[in-house]
Amino acid sequence: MSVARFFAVLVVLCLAVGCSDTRTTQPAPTPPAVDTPAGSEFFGGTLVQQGTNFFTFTVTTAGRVDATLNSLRTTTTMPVNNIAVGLGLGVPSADGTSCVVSVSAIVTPSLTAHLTTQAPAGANCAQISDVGNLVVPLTFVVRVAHS
Amino acid sequence: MRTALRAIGLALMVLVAGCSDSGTTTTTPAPITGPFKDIFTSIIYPGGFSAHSFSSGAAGTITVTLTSAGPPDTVVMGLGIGVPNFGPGCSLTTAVNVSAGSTPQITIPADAGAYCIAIFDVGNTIPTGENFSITTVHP
Repeated sequence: MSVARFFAVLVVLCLAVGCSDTRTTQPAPTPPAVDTPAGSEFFGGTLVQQGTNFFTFTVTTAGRVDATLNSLRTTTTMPVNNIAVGLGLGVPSADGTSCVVSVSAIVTPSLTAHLTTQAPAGANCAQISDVGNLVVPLTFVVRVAHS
Repeated sequence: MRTALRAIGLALMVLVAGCSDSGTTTTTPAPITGPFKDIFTSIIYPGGFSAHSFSSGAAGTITVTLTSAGPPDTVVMGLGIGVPNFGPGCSLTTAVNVSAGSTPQITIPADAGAYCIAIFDVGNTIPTGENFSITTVHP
């Protein structure tokens, strides 16, 4: 009978200590903060000599904004990629008649972002301007990626 | 003694059955990563322009190769890459006049996004419809 008691105690001990999970639990890795624009939109038009064009867009969540001059061309199909123009990002003026640029560069067409900045939520703007290089009007396409 | 044997048997059953690892193993499918090859084959006519859009899922290098055109296979065509907005199908960022070959005629870095390639008659080469094939490799 004492032997039976001994094994009964053994069973209880097995239940108590034998089934512990010895694996260590690793916390799920925290993904790095991603500050990637959620989408993009295109703006196009014709830039004339000494001219400036700007377009407004709405940022839903403050964060990164990229601007890229994608294309410049005359009336022909062949693109013009040896003429530099001014490209800027900012916010519309209080009266909405201009773009108050906070970051800018003189650029030629590319498929990679020319400007990257942090933009506030709300109305923002992109601006393209002749910096003295145009001899004829040019058709342009600018891509703005933002949240 | 019989009771002891029963107890031993019970203990063994508990050890065998009670300690199984009930955790499930989840296999996450590997993400599909590039580069991706996109082949655009069609016919271009005198004075014509033909464009084809694609999306690049990540930043990286895009290469464009006019692999065949003609006849004759030495015909020179305009080949470009740009963005698929504003204009006749594709607003070009860069373009070159090329004849078909196996080496990329355009190699350009690009952000993730929507792009297009275009082929066009440069005005002096095609008297009638020309077959062509363009291979684009992108992230």
